[in-house]
Amino acid sequence: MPNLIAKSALFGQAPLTLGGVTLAEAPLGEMFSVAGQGKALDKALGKLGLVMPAPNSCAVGTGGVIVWTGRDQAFLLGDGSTLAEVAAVTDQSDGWAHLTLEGDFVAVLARLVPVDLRGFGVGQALRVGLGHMQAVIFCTAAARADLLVFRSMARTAWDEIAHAMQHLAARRVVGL
Amino acid sequence: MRLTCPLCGPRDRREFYYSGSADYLTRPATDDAAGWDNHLHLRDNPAGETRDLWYHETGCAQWLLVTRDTVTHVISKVELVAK
Ligand SMILES: [Zn+2]
Repeated sequence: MPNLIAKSALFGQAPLTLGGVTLAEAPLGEMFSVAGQGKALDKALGKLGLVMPAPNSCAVGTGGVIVWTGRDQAFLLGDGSTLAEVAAVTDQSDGWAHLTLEGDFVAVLARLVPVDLRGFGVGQALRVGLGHMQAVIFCTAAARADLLVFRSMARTAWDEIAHAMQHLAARRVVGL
Repeated sequence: MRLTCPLCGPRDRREFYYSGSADYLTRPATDDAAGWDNHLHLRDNPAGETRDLWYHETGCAQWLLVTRDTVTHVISKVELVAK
């Protein structure tokens, strides 16, 4: 097997800053779906400094970031191979696009997400619609949102978020 | 219209796919054709409380059992189908 070059969904895309908000693609990293429950899984996650997250939450541990994605299911942004014996683990690294929004992301996402994000902050996570896409949104640092969308929809997600940012920046120019 | 998903919290209607009557959860006990015809095709159309199945498509991907009133539009209960 030749050593293939891994590229992120929007490889080469420069960050976009408008109206004090910066949209960027996160560096391509490992990401695993972890589905299961029980003591053995809890113990293995404990070694990564993590627990299975409660609904709508996420956490940072020594072994990466864990994000709730469904009933008895989470995404681990990190190496999930040590969990393979104790949970249903699948490598999702090349299946998703990972974007970040830094700054006042609430105003931007309010135009795309049918959930009130005022008060959305560190430690919270959502599975929610972004336009017509399914998305995972989570927060591990103040004034920053991480977004995951299916890799095939990366360009659409970028364009729709950039469009919302343009609208907000334009409104600011005319004093709205 | 909003449904309060037991996992995700209150969410907009457009996040859900409507499937149909909660009767679909109860398969006929026998194999007779009339029972299956009833199961698949014959529905009550109550003015009042009704129970139906919704799928949280752009949320947690769970099937939900929704109890609502077709007269008042009150949604009284949203439960996970999966135990
Ligand atoms: Zn849900």
